[in-house]
Amino acid sequence: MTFAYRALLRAHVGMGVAYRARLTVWILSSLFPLMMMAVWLSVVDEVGPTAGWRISDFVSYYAGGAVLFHTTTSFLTWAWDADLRSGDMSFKLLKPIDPFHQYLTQEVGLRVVVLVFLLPTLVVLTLLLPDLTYQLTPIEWFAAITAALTGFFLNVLMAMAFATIGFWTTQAGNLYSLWWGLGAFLSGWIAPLSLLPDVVADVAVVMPFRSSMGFPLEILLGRLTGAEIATGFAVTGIWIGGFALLYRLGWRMGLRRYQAVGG
Amino acid sequence: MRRYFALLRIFWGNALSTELQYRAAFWANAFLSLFWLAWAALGVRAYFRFAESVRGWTYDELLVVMGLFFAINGLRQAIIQPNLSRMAEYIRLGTLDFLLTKPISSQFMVSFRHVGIYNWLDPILGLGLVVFGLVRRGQPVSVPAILGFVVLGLAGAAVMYALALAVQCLAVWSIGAEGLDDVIQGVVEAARFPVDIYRGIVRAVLTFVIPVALLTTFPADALLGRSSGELIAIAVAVAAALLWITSRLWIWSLRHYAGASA
Repeated sequence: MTFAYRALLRAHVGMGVAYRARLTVWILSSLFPLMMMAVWLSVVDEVGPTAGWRISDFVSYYAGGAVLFHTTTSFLTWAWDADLRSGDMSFKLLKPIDPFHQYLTQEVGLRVVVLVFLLPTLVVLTLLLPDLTYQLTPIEWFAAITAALTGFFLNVLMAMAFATIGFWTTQAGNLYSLWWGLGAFLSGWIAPLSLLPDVVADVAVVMPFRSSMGFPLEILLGRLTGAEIATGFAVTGIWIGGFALLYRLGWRMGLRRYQAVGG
Repeated sequence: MRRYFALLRIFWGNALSTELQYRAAFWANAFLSLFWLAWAALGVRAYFRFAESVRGWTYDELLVVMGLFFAINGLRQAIIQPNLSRMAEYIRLGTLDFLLTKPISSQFMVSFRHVGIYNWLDPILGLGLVVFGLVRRGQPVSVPAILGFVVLGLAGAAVMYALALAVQCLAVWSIGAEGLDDVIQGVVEAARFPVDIYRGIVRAVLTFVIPVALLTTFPADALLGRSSGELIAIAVAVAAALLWITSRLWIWSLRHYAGASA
């Protein structure tokens, strides 16, 4: 099992490296978080700190957010959808390892390559920009990185649970987009949760979206107490369990319906 | 000229009748377009919990820009993206050589041969959001303001087309054209907000180097009655100049194109 895993990972990292030119363009072209940041900086310029958020908070939040977006967001639902239509799913089923692991390593492989590009960039930027700082204890660093990793795993499971809808309809990708779109308000992607209305922030704490974005970012900015961090991990854990169950269920039932292309 | 309109009718008519076979997909796309429009309009509300206006733009005025962004981005997805994304393949497979032998303008063929039918919904919905923003703002819009908007809007669309054509030229030179359509997407994405919101050097670059301001900010300014005749004249001149330069550039880069087999 570990051997197969290592081989799959190596193959998928290689695939990511092969498309690295595409990757840089992709990263360069996703300006969304930087624009959101620019607007907040203008707001702070005009009316002063918003709810205690200063320039440096926004810069650190969105820089971290950009890295987290590229490392934790999963669009596996689309890849799965394409595999179902092209018949590549049949090849995946033929291999002696559950497709779950094939998709998981595919996602991890891509992230390894993204990280190799993004992390050095972030480190250089923290040295260049005085506003971009993360002052944390080693334990907080550990918590933030663990939060990002568990958040990534939750996102992958969530995307795969939605992907199994693809056995019944061709709209799985679109459904997942809608779900992600709603989640953008509750994850801290649109704006830091503490700057949104209280109702939204309260709902966000118990939803699965914050786990990979707002939660690690708030730890990075040193805004969470120990108890709040523990709650965050508990929420992530519960959703991981929930989506793992849903995925398993969807997979079992869906596979029975699956007849492959042309079947 | 008449010949080109006739060709366009055939190309796009074909695309339309192909897509109309999938009614469910059409409605799904319409719903998604509406969803993302509402998503964007709600997403910027957060700023206005803390300030009445950002750099002189109120929420209602920002909605006008947002609507124009959807319109221009929809045009990008409908016309530019389907053609630009095929360019790499044209060059790799030698289709470009084949296109060059046709008795019509090659610039026309690489720019308008394909069209994304569903993406025409975005410009329509985007203009709807523009009207919504103007109504919410509650100030009358004069006839000269609308005329100025139409002229500036066309100039903006022309600028985007010129940028896309420049990227097509780049594709001819660099062969490996994968991902070049993302560049245009990045440029248009920067037009989501009025350029006034950015600071210092970024704003200067977006106004003078890559004329992003022409895409949404200037047309919105015209509708809000903040434009001047001079600005409109300059914008039209810039758009015309860019169109002329890039079509020269296209011819020039073809002269240096050696064909797929070379």
